[in-house]
Amino acid sequence: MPVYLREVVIFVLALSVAVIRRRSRSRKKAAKPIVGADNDYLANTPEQDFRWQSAPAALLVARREISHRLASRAYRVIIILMILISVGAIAVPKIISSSGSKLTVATTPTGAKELRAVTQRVEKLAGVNLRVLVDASAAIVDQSVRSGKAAIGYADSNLILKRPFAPNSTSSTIRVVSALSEGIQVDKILSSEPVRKLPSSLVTQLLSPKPIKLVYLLPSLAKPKDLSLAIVGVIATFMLLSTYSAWVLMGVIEEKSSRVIEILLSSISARSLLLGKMVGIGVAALTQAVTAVLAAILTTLAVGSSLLRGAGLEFIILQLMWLLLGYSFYCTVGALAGSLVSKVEDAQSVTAFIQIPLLLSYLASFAVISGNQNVLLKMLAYIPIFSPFLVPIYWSSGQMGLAQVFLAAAVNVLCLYLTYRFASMVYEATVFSRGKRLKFRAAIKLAKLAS
Amino acid sequence: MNSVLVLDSLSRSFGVKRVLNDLSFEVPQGEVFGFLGPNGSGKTTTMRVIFGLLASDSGEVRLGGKKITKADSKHFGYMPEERGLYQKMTVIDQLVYFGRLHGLSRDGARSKAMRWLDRFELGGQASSKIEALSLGNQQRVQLISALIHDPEVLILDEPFSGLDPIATASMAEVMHEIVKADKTLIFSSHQLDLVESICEKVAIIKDGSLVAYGDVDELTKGDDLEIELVTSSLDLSWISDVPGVEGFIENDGRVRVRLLHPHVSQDLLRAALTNGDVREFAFRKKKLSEVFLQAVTTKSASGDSLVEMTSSLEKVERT
Repeated sequence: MPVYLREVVIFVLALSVAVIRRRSRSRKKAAKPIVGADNDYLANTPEQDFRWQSAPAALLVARREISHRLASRAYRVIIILMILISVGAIAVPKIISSSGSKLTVATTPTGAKELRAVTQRVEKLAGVNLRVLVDASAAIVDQSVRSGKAAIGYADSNLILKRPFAPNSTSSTIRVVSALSEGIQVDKILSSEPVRKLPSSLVTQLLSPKPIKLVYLLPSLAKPKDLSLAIVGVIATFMLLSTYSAWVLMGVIEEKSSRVIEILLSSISARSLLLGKMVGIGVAALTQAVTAVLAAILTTLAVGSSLLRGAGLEFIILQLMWLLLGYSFYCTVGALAGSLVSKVEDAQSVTAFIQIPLLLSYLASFAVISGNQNVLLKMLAYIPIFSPFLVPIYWSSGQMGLAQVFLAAAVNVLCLYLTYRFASMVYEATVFSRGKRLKFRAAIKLAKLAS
Repeated sequence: MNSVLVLDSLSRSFGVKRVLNDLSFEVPQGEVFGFLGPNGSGKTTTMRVIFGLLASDSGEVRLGGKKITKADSKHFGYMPEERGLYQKMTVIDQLVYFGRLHGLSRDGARSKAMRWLDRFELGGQASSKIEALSLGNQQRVQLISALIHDPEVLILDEPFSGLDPIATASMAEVMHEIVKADKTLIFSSHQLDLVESICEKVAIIKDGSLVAYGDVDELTKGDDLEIELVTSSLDLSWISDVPGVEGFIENDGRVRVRLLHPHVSQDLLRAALTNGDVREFAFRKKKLSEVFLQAVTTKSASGDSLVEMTSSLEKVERT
């Protein structure tokens, strides 16, 4: 088993053992006094006080990172922002759609009679509530539509719109126009003499025909109804990855510059330190993301949005998984970049290693969201820099199946393993480097020498 | 000598620069050991190699006769030259964290930390953030972090830098307590007077090579050809009349007399008693700073031979 993979497996196993042992200890153990006998600070620590196996150093580093991050103001601000974005993204469209669901139709007194006969059916067909505005004459109806007082006008058997709509428009006004046109015509036919003579059961059958059974050859590809969730996902991923990879980068530099690193490395290996740091910040990151998701779910329940039903929930789970993969990759790159400098004031010179790929991914995401079908963009979805952004969008728009999602994930895991291996080598080799920023090539040389 | 730590032919290069050059010396058990050298001489690198922060290119370090491995790091406590503490963490959290990294249980680390904090009269500041402490108190916390896991060997890189005289005295007192508890203490410092008063043995290195090594008393021992004299006599011309006196120099009431042979000291004492009251009369010891200066300005010694320690008496003027 490769040594790095073994480290990860040992860490996970040790974490589990530590949690179980800690639970059993906390049940058994009574509270112990802290202060001991006078002047015994130099007494040898009893051998049983050492528990080398129960609390792996990487876990301790991770725990410190978690508690440090949770206590920081930046963390709290970001979590509030994320909750606001989640709540806003779900509640605002719902509020807008519910407040705009009443569509005004201006008509003459004659037209009003015809409209009232079909209003209920039109509302059902178009999914929009109607308000009928009765004007004195056709000219005033014209005026109401021109001024925007009414969206649609109906006078002298004509439907009146301010301007023509685009041929592929799906706006609610078009749906109402179509339903009104059909409803008024049907009502006229039903009122005609020949139809009146027909049996009422036949008329009912004609108006509500039994639908033909639909047969599906393949199961449905679960997708959200629109890309609004994907857009929120891209923004949240960008924010989180920028923030947390920068935290890893700064954490590495701060420890080096303050020389805490020397204290730490006298008791823990460089690789364990790096692993603990990444895991700790990762847990803090996921806590934020999960909090935002919970806020979104609660908002959905509160406003009665259908956004999270079925495919929406699947999308969120997929997005979280890709966020985790993206975090792992970008934070590894952050640690690598941080290894190249030893002073906090030089951090700016290496942030480009993270910021440029993130920005490119962000732009590529919106190119895909806006409907760009370029094959190159689809290929980018398999590259770890872009995958956390592009894969969820391609999946939600139906351009990527589950098999392709898993293939992209496999490529990402492989690249992550190689990147972590390389980053930990460079980190270990450059941990005591001082002075100006190391060139990438020099860092590789050092890593080769050290290995 | 019962050596706890042995450095055997350590060499280490960074690129083309050779930082440690076949460095060998032994550190006795339960003593304060001074590790001296000018800036850039390889002290910090040696300290890092000792407990495995850096690997040597050749040679080895032995603790209790066994070659050191990474697992032996728990036997060492280290305080680096530039202080390394998390400024935003509280004192107690920080100490518990470092203790746990060294393998202590949470309660064990907390208990130890509180006892040490009480010893340094910092118990009341256990919940303060490091950034709220004075430099001296931060230094104390740093020392506790090196001590918390009861290491056998404590390595302190410039422990007195930035400390006021009271804090320095307090630190020195703690160092003596540590040694009394049969721990071994290695420290580097540029405050040579302090080193002289605290250390029993020192090693001086230059360019990664050992240039002086031994007991402080031995290294500072004079050649029995210089007498330090304090007398009530105002006229000192009688000194030149004593046969076997090479010359003398007077500074601030203290007279340093250079002799041609050690036995001349008895004639000098008799003459001094004849010419006034003798308040002090002793063979002059060299100061460690003189030994240091001479060692680092002389060509490096090779192997186990030490630089010849000759007196650095200023030019003697015959009167």
